Amino acid sequence: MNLDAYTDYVAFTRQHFEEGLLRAGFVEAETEWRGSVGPSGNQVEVAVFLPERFPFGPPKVRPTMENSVLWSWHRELDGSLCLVAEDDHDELWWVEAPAFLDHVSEWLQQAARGWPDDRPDLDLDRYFHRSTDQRVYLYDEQASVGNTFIRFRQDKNNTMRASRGTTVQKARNSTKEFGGYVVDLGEVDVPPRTWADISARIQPQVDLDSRIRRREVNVVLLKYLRGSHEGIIALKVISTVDGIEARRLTSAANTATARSARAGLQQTLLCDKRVAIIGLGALGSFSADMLARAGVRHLTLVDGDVILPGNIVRHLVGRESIGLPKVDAVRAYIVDRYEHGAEDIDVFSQNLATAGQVARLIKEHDLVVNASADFSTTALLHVVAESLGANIISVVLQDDGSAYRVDVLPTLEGVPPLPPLPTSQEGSQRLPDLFEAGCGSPISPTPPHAVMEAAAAAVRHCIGLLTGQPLHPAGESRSLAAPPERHDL
Amino acid sequence: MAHLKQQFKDALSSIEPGKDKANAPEAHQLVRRALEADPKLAEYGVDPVLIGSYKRNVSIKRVKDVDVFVRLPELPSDVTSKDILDRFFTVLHKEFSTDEEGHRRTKRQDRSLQVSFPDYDLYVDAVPARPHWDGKTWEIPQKGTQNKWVQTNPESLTTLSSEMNTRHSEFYVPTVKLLRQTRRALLGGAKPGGFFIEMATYQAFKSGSVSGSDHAEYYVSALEEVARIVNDFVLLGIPVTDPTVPGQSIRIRATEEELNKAATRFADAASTARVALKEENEGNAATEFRKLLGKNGDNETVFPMPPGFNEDGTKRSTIISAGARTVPAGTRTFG
Repeated sequence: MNLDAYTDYVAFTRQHFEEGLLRAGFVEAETEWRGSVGPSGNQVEVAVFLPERFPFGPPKVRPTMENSVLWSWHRELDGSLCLVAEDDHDELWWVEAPAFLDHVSEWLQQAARGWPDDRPDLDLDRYFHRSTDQRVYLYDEQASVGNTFIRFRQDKNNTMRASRGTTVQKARNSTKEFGGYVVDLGEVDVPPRTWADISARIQPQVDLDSRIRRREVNVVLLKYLRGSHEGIIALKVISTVDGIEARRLTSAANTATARSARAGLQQTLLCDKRVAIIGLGALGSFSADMLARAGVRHLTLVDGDVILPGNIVRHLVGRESIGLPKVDAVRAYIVDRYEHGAEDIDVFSQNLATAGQVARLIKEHDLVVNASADFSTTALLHVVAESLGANIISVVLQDDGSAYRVDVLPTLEGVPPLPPLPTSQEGSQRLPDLFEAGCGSPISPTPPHAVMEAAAAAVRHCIGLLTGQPLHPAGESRSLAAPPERHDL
Repeated sequence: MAHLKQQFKDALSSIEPGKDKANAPEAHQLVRRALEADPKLAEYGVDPVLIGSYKRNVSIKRVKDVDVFVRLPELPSDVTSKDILDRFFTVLHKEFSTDEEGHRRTKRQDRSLQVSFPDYDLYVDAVPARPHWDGKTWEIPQKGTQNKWVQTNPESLTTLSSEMNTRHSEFYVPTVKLLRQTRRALLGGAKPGGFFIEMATYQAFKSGSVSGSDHAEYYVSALEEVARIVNDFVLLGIPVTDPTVPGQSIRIRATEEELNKAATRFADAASTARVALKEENEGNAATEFRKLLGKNGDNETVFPMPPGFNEDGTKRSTIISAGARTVPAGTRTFG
C-alpha cells in the first residue's frame, strides 16, 4: 500500500497547470508565478500561488501592486482575489490554467463594472483576523437591534450569550461578562478591514472609542447590509498602543429563524399542519422527530407503553427517559430541541380502543401515521379512514428488519395496494426467537439503521400527502436485504 | 507549448559528471604536483592551470579527460616542442610509471602528454604552453615533432563562457551541456566532438539569435541556431570562429561522411525540438525531447517522462478524467 498514484496525480496536475501558466506568459518567481491577466487595456500583474492542497484546493491570485485593483467584497484580507466560492468546487475546474486565467480575467472585468448582480455572500468576517477567544458569541433578535448597548455573559459549552443592557460605568477584568455595542453599518460597498474603517461610520456622540479604551465595551456586533440581505459579525475590540484593534469572534444568531433555516423547502407549508402518530416505538419516535424537524408544528402522540432499557438502542430517546411513558419521553425530546412548545404536542398515553377515537383523530388531523405495526390497529385505521374519505400512512418493518413498507391506506385513485415483497428468509435458516421476561412477543432482531431508513421513507410520504404532492398512490416497499443496486457503466 | 521545467532540470542532473567531479581535481592535482616538482620545469617557471570543458563546467557525464594547461613563462626559445614534450614524458612517466597490467600510464600525443588514471577511469592531458609574442596569449605545440607552435588562449575561453552564462541568466552553461548531450545522442563517438558543438553554441549565443525564459526555450532556440551553423560549416564551408584568438577558427578532424551526417541530424533534431516545444500534450513533448537527449554516460535515459504519463507518452489511466472518477456522486451534493 503506497501513495504513488496520489503523488503521480498531484504532480501531473501541478505541472500541467504550470505549463498552462508558462503558455500564458507567466514566469516562475521564488514562491509564485507572475504574469499579466485581464482584458486588454485592463491588464493587471498578478502573482499566482499554488497551495499545498492543489489540485484539491484552488490557486490563490494576488495583484502584485496591492491597490492596482479596487478593494471590494471580492478580495480577501490579504488582498488576494476571491475567485472560488466554497460551493464552486465542482470538477476541480481550476486545474486547467486557461480556464482559471479566464476566470481571473472575468473577475477583473466584473470588478471594473462594479460587480453588477453580485451574490450577497454575508462574509464580512473574512476581513478580520481571528481572535484568540474561542468562545461562540450568540445573539438573539433583541440583541441585534442597531446602535444599542448589550452585554455578553458566559454560558455553558463555551458560549457567550447576549442580552440587552446599558454599558457598565466601570471597567471589569472578568472574562465571563463583556460589555458590547451593536453598530449598524447599513449598506456596505467596500468591506471595512480595520477598526478605523468602522469607527468612522459610528455616530460620534456614542464615543465608542473612549468606551473601548476604558474597557467598558469589549465586543462589537457589526450589522451590515449587502443588497437586501442582513449580516452580523462579532468583533473583539482591544485598545493597544497602536490604537484599537478589532479581531473576529465566532458568532451566530440564536433566533427562531436561524434555528429553522435548514428545515427544508416545505417548512412553511408544514408549519400549520397537524399530524397524529399512533405507536411511539422505534419507527413512531423517529417519524415524530423527523416530522418535527421538517416543520410540522402540531403533533399528537398516541401510545400506552413506557420506555424500558431494552428500547433505547432502537428508539429516539435516551436513558434519561427510562420509565417515562413513550409519548411523554418523545414530547420532552422534541420540546427540548426544536421550536415546539409543550402545548404544540398532545399526548395520549394509551392504546387506541374504539372506532370513535380513531375517527376523531383522523378528523382533527391533516394526517394520521400508523407506526403501531399491529395488524388489528392497522385494520381499524384503514376501515375508518376509508369510511371518512381520508388517507393515512402506515409504516412497518418486515421479516426482522430485512424490508419495510409504507402504505397509503386506502390507496389514492383506487390503485391496488403494493404487492408483498418476497421474504428474505425463504430458503435460509431461521434463528431461534429471543424472549425477554414477561408475556410479550419475542424481541425483533430488526437493526436500528433499518428503523431509521423506514421512518425516513414514511416521513417522505407523509410530507408528500401533507403538501398535496403524494410520492406514490400506494406508498413504497423496499427490501433492505437485497444487495445494493448496481449501475453498469 | 510544453516547457517541462522539472524534466529539463532532471535531464541536467542526469548528465552532471557526478563522482567524476571529485576524481577529476584529484587527478589534476597529482599531475600538477609531479610537474611542479621537476627542477627543470621549475626553472621554466612551471605554472599549470586547469582548462577545458571540465573547468568551464560544461562537461557531461562521463568526464573522460581533464585538460591541464602547463604554462612555462620562462621557457627559452631554443627549447623545441619536442624537447619540452620529452621532458614532460620523463617527469610524468617517472611519477606514474605503469598500471597493474604493465601498460605505461603516460602516453605521448601530438601536442600533449596523456596520463591515465585507471582507478578513476579518466585521463589527464598535460599541454605545455609558452608565451606568445603578444605577451597576452600562449602557444602550444601543433605537432610536437615539427617544432610548430599554435596560438591559443584557453583561459580566456573560461572567462568568456562565464560571462556569457551571466549575460543569459545562467542559461548558457546548461544549454551547452544539453547540446553536447544531444550531439552524443545523435552522433555517438563520431566527429564533430563536444568542443566543436560548444563553440558553435557560443557563436550562436554571441550572434544574439538565442533567447528564452527557461531551459526548454533556450535549448530549442540554441539547437536551431547550432543546426544552422553546423549546416553552414558543412555545406558552405563557413568556419566556426575561435572566440579567444582573433582571426582563428575551430579546426576539427572529421570525415565528409561524418560532417554530412552531423548536418542532417542536427537539422532534423532542431525541427523535432521546435515541434516538441509547441506540443501541448506534455507526454508527447517529453517523448520527443527524450529521443533528442538519449542516454547518459551511465546508459540511463536522460529526459524523464513527466508525472502522469507512461513511458510511451500516453496518459496514465489514473489521470484520465480524474475529477469525474474521484467523485462518482457528482455535483449538487449535500452532507
